[in-house]
Amino acid sequence: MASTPVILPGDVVPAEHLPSTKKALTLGPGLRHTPPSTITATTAGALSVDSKKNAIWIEHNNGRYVPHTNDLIIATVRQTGSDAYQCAITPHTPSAILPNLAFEGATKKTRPQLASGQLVYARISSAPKHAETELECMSASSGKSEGMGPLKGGMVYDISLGMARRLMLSPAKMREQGLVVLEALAEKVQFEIAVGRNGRVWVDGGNVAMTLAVGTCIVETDRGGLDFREQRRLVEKKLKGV
Amino acid sequence: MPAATATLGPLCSDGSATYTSPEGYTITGAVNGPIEVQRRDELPEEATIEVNIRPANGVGTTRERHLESLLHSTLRSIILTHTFPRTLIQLTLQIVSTPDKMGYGGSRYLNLSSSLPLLPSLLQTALLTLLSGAIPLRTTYTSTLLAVSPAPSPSEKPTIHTSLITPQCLASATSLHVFTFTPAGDLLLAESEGSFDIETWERVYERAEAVCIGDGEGVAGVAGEGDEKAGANVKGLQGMEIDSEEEEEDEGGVRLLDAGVEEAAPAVSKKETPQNLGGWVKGVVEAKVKEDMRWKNRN
Repeated sequence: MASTPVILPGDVVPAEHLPSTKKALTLGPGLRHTPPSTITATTAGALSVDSKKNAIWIEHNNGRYVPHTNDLIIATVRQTGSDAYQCAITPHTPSAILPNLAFEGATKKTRPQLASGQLVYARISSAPKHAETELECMSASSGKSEGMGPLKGGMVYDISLGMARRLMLSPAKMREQGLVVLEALAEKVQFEIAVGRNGRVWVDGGNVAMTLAVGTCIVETDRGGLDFREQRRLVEKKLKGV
Repeated sequence: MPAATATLGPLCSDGSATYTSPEGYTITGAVNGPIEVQRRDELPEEATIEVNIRPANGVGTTRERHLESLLHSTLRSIILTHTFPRTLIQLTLQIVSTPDKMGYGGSRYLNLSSSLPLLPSLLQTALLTLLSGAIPLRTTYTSTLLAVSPAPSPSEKPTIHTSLITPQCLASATSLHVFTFTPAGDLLLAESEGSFDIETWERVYERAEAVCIGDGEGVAGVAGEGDEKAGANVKGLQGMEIDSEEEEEDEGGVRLLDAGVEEAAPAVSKKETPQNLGGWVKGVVEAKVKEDMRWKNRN
């Protein structure tokens, strides 16, 4: 990913930027394919290429989150129904459905009771264009929760979609991308964190002061576009009083 | 000539932009979408587009409704609405300031109260806002205003003004024209007011094309008319003329080649002033992406 050319909607992706392997090319967000072999951009941003996975997509930081299957998100329960909860993924969009039985070990008698306003960490099990989005809080194959479920305590912060994607990378990849805020925080203190692809991050530091310190570190790193020295300095400053 | 300026993302909506035109119109735009649509506006196969224009003072009138309908039809052909069926893409454009026209005779001249001078700025703001909101678009576009004033002597042709149309220039104009082009050279919108003949319209069309997408041929066609501005355009566009020659030889790969040339020399395009409006839009987006990628600097 040495060069990241900026392209605008309607621009044809130049052939020299396409990965040249024989595997089928995977198109990510912001691109569309016009048969036989024209690839045009639909959003503005930096063109990113992963030659190992033979994938190409447009990286942008802004815009509204649009649900995609298998994305992990933080949703808010809007309404409790008889067989499903109505959840909000982003404001002002139709509710997503979280069935009462889509939790680990849930039966008709022992199902989690969620009040409206409660946060849940869930995966999008299906996101059809013409029907409602469906969520689940357990792995469909193993039936285990795998970290998903209701989020109790803590606090939720809004971050940009690009930052949410970066926070979900593996620690090594995160360091490679220049994001060290989590690592720097984890060296000093203990906290729990859940990142949703819909641009929300939930933080629980055990007490209010710690939760706020960790949360503001993440939010300020995102807003200011801090590089890694600035991130470490910010963490030191925020943790001083706690 | 003061250059147009723009900022992407000044508000916390899904996408926003502030644009100041060389003439002095400042407009802030915000887009939210895809969001839930009211049942009566719902379209089963595509997204509904809502455009709201708010004037600098007072409430919107018929004039704003007219501009809204022009923007709506233009944007509908640009936004890939079928990507988000049964949703709403809501665009609001707030006019923040307009140039002072009262000192030049105010509403005595019909042209000064015309809504056309505002239209290119509205269109340009709308585009930047949609780009900022990552709304999927078919293509980008550029828009410009041209004013035609009477010929200085009966033997000459009417003068066409392109950049920086001042209120004096508006007051003396016999006709006003707004053109919008896609980078591929397709005409998206053409609005004209005043009295003119078809020959003048065709000359105006060529000039508008040169201003918007910097087509070498279009500029060459009007350069001989002795207009200083046309001459300046040709100078700035010499680099582009080479491209257009190549485009003719190699059919089909037009956009690909064009983009390749821009990609190959990003440093040059940043230093020089954009040769056409399309180049300017790209510059604004590049600056925003650079800012978003600031965290990648690890020094």
